[in-house]
Amino acid sequence: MANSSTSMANASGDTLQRKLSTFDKPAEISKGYEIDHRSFNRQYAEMYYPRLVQLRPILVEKAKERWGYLPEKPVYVPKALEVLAGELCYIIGTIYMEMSTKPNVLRDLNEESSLIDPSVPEKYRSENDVIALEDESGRVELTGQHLKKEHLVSGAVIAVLGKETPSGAFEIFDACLPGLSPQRPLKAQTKPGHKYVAILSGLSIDSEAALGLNTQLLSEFLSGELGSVENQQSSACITRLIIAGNSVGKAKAVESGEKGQKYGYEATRYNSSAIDILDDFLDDVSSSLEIDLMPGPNDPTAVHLPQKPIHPFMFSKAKMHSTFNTVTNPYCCDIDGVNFLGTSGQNVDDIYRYSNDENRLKMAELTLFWQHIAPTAPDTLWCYPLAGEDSFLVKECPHVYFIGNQPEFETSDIQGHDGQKVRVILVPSFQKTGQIVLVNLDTLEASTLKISGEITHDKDGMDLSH
Amino acid sequence: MNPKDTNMDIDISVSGSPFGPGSSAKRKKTGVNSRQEMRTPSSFEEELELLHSDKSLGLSTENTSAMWGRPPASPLNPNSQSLVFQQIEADEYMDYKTKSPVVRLYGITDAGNSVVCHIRNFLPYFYFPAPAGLKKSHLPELKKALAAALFDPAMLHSVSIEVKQSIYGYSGDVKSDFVKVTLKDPRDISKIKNKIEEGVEVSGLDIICIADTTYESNLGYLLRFMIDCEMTGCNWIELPAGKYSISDNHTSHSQYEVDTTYDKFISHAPEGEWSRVAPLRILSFDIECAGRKGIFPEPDHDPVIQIASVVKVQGETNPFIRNVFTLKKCAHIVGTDVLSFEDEGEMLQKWRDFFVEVDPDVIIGYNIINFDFPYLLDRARKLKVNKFPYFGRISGTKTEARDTTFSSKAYGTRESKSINLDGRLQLDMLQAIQRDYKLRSYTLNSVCAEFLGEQKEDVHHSIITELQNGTPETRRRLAVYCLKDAFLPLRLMDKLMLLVNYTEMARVTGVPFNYILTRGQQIKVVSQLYRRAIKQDLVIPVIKTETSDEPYEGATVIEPEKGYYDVPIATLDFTSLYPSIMQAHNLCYTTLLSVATVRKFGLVKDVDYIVTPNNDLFVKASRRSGLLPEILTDLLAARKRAKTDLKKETDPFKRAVLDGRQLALKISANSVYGFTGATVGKLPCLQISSSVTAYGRDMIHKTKETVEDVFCVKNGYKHDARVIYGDTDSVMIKFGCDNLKEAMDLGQKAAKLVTMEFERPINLDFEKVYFPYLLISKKRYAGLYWTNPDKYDKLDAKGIETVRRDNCRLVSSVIQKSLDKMLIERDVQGAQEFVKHTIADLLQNRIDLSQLVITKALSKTDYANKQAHSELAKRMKIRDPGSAPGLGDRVAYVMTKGTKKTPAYERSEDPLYVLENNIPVDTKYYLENQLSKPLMRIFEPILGDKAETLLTGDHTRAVNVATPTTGFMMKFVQKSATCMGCKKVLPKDDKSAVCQDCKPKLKELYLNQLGPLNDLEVKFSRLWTQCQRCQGSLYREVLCTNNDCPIFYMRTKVQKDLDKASAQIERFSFEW
Repeated sequence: MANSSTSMANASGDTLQRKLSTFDKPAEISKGYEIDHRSFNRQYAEMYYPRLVQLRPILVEKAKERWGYLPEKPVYVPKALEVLAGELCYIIGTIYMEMSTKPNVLRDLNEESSLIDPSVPEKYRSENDVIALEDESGRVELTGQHLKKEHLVSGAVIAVLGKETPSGAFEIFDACLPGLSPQRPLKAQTKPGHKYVAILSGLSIDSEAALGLNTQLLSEFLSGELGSVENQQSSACITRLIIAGNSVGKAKAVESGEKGQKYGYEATRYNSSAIDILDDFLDDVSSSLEIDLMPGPNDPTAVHLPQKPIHPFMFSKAKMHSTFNTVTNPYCCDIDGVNFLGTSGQNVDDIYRYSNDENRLKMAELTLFWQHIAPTAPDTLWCYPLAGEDSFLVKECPHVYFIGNQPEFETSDIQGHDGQKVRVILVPSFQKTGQIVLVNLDTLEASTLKISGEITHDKDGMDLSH
Repeated sequence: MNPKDTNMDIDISVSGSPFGPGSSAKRKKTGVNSRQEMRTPSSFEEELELLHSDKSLGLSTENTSAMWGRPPASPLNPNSQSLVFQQIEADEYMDYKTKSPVVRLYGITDAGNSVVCHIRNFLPYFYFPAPAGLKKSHLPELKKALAAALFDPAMLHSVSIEVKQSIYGYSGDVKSDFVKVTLKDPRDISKIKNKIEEGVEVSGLDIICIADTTYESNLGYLLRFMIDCEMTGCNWIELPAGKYSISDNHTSHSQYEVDTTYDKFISHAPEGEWSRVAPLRILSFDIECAGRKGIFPEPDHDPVIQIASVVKVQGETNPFIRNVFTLKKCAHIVGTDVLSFEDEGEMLQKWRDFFVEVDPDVIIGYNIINFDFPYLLDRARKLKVNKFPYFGRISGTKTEARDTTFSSKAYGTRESKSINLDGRLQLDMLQAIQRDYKLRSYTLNSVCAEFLGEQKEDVHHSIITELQNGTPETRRRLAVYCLKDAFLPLRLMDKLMLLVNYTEMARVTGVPFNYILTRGQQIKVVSQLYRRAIKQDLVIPVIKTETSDEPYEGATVIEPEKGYYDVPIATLDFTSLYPSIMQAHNLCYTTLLSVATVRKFGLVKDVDYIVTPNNDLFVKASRRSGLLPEILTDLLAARKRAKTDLKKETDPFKRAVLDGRQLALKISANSVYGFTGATVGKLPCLQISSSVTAYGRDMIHKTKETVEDVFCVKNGYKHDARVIYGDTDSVMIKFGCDNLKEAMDLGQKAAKLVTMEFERPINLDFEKVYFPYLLISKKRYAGLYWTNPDKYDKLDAKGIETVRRDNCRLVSSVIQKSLDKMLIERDVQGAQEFVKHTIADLLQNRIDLSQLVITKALSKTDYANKQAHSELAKRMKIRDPGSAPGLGDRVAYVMTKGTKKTPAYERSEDPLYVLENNIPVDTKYYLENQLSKPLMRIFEPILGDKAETLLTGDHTRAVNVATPTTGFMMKFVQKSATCMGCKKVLPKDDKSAVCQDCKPKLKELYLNQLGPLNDLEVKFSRLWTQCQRCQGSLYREVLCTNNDCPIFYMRTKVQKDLDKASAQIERFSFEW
């Protein structure tokens, strides 16, 4: 447990005390995202197996609940390949979707550039996709009208109810997801604290330009140095800032000017000026606010999920503050007893390609119902070859689940069968929208705050009356 | 015809032992870079399911034993119904009751019923010239004298006198007497022939009856029958009602077995409605054997564990039977009938029963003739499954594998097996593809990559046994793999339209289907020649072949003016040069004149006959039209039809097939010329072949003269045209103009002009313009190929290293790219830069290892000279006998660094071993022994002496050598870290990333390390998920050992590189 206590001076000289929250990083969950020593002498098959083993008992229960009462009394067939033709039954396994438009490395072999930066289509779906379900015994193709109703992606583990058709495919009538995992009860609030957690993503600081106006304003707002007392008061209610990825633009190689180096080995060089600008920003903000900095796809760290924290030495100024933390992506933490889980957006961006649907919020929700935040890893989402344990499994249901770097702010409230309640939030890119998201720690409501020359609260904005 | 000569060519092995390593070509089904775009390899299991879910089938393919058999045959009344069938095979046998030979046709009716038809009363015969004074009255005595040569004189049927003419040489219309000897047993021909050659006394005749030359005594009985009955390969036969009978004695498995005589049936020429193909049943199969560690499976020891079969009907898209016979229980496979057995013998027997029940007409597979079939037969013998080896249509005929050798000028000498399957066609896809296509590798995998655009998972044979000894699930995995190998040949056959094309070839040339694969080109010409000769009462002598050392002059080459031409070069080609010369000048056996004949008939030069540039005399077509020109006209007409279809066809693959067909016809047409020139051939006639080439030479020179005379400044053209190169049938002309349109117009004009100089059908055709054009030397050139002035067709390269197998991939990719840059982008400077960068990358160890892998077939264990690949195989065997390459395998290796004295053969190393142990690659070897020559060849014409700078220059200065992790020296090396900024050695035990001086640049240095790391992460993910997809399973480890796949080494290398790169990046953790 860590307490943060920072005071900030406002323009008028009065000292406004920033509100405090308790903070905890649940060791159990975080550990899965922190990989000390990466070893690549293994294969991806090792990831799928623990995923299935973990989720199967849950699905067996759920499926029984869902289909047990049916008059046909469908049976559970533990091996997908042992289904008997014509008999209604259900099987459990991992979905695999064969889609010809997925980036294919064999097509990109000739150009090194397309090998490491393949062109990825907006959507993977096409007419002749094959959807299959696989368990240890083998793979069965799924068919049936019901398929169209289900939102499926490679890697999700589900149960399907159906019959084997004469042609050997499995015609499904219904599907069952693991559903929300168990949730820790929220601590009863002794007194309303009107405390907020701010989440932002996509600062996308560029190496070419200095800090944009909006970002400067943001920095001042968060440090409580901006504008009216009202603004300062609202800032003081924010107890923690989570930055969900893409703080800088994608690192670009610097053209080497020296002729002599033409055939040399380290022809590509990078410059760190964007990081330095970000460092200044973080330095300013963290002098008065706790920050968790998650990496995103553009940030300087490993690209494989789970992404390692950006190395703190990159921030020579900010790292001096004890309030500054660089953390993993995905990231999970406990603030005032509220369990936060989030990603910088890669998972939902990839799931988005598997469906002709546009509803990103629903996709984010689905990951919780699948109990797996990144099912499409490793197939189309690049990830570290985890072994022994699939750390993307959601063993404990969070109270707040956020996805960074999404096109626009969206939020919903989902509920589980056992009384679980989750606030799901799509956090927009700050660079594109100027918005940050505020989560009320008491009500778990989410709202946005737009910074564009001036600060505007949206209609459900912070209640500043206290 | 028994497929006695069934042959198989493996350049992968020359082993004579039946189960020898040659067969291992079959195990290594690997891939090669395909020029086509890769299709996403789909999971084969899903494909099976897809097939399966095809509702149009309307029935399940599981538990299908009920539908193995043919459709039931409706009753047949020979007196009122005719029987029509397509014959696919024919053979002969002696009926010892009637003491006469019988031809047995095997066929299929339109309804898909099988037919065996015994055709009687056709007797073999031959001719010899009647000695002077021989009269009809002498014949009984002659017969008696000749019959004495036989064990049973009654087997000589008759002798008669017929008026015939020898095909060889023109002798006016004068015909002469020939004695025709007719026998009852084809095997007796040689005995009588020998007797005639020795000479016999005929009482009543005052001279000894003797003949040096006999006629048509070397034509096989079956072909004789087909020619006389005007039957071609695979044509339709009609037995009219009342002209045949149902056999009393059913000797075959066929549904209809009938008897008739040779003069009662109708043989339909394959035209119009008779050009259709019967619904043939095609079975494709593959077997898996469980070998012992390190030893290729041997039938005496290693069991057959699975046999997968797929059966379909010609013309339908999907197979209707898919099954796999497994030893021990195997988990269910969707869409497939899995039949499991505990006893291997029982499994074999049941498979045989299945085979006979299905009664396939065509058997296909990949290397089945040299591996699968012989293995099954030997294994069954070992297990004493005595009822096993009966696969033919004739009951009680044992199927055996025999050794054969096949020699052909076009295809070389090959040793092979031959399997007798009476009445069934065999189409081993390996043989067919080796025959028709020139590829870098002929493993099933690379063939599939080439034609189907797919990579294929390859399970190493050392793992097969493990999978077999596992669980029903592991055996299932094997079964899926085995099924896929049974499926692929079927898809290849369809895609390449092999069955259709071979059928067509058999019909055009008149030889049985099986001859197309098992015999050379000559038999096709023989067949066509006899068919024409018989109609003109011509008889063909048996020429005693004598190897003549008298070589005749070949084609001519106009010395190339080497260089890089940045102006359009028009190319004029003689269409079918040699055939058209033969047609134009009426060159044939039947038109060849001797000076004596000229005198005898008082023939007039250039009116009655011509004198060829080789000083041979031939009569003109007005006197007698030659047979060979007629044959050529037919072949070329068929080719023209194919070409017309080709123009109409839009589907790119069908185009390729039609192109293949017209090419095959072209080859057949050219083989007529080859036939006359083959001194060890059936009927050599050097006067013809020498005259043909002489005409060709004259024509090329004449073309050059004409073009250069006409198209010159003197005649009002802007430039003097120049023929810069000419070879056999084409000339390249530099008209001097710099725009395409103009060059094309001039080309057209020149072609027309020159064509007028020659006799029809000789035709000089303007085909294309090369622009730009790189002329390297004789038969080596490259250029951008234009047929219309707006858009180029392709980059055309001849004789330049792109497919050579003994080069590493780097060579072909560098050459290809350089040519692209030079010719397409017209950026010679860019091409040089590209080459320099590649060389720099090579020397600095940045080329992907898979680009450097060289492969060579291990064809024998002991080479006279030590060779890189065989030495490596020996070393690998010591390391791990299990995974070491065996005889017949292709050994993949890279050249590693050694001391100066280490001979090259000791420096070859297994690419995987190199990757794992970080062994330094001898990049200089690749530069000097692989790259330099091909590069010099393409750059010298442009850069001249300066080309050398490509191989020396600045870019070759920096050299990086990997530090090996094994080896003697490594024990003494102390590793100490260096600064990632300035490479300064850091103090011992200092694990930081950079030295004190570089601290300020720490962030940049970190980013510099991170960039490549991120790239590697992406590569790792993409490569390994690709393999996961290709193997079609998420839960199973990737086991594939397909080292021909372009990503095979890459995926191992990326693991290594990533481990290294992440260790490097870890060092920054100490920087706080």
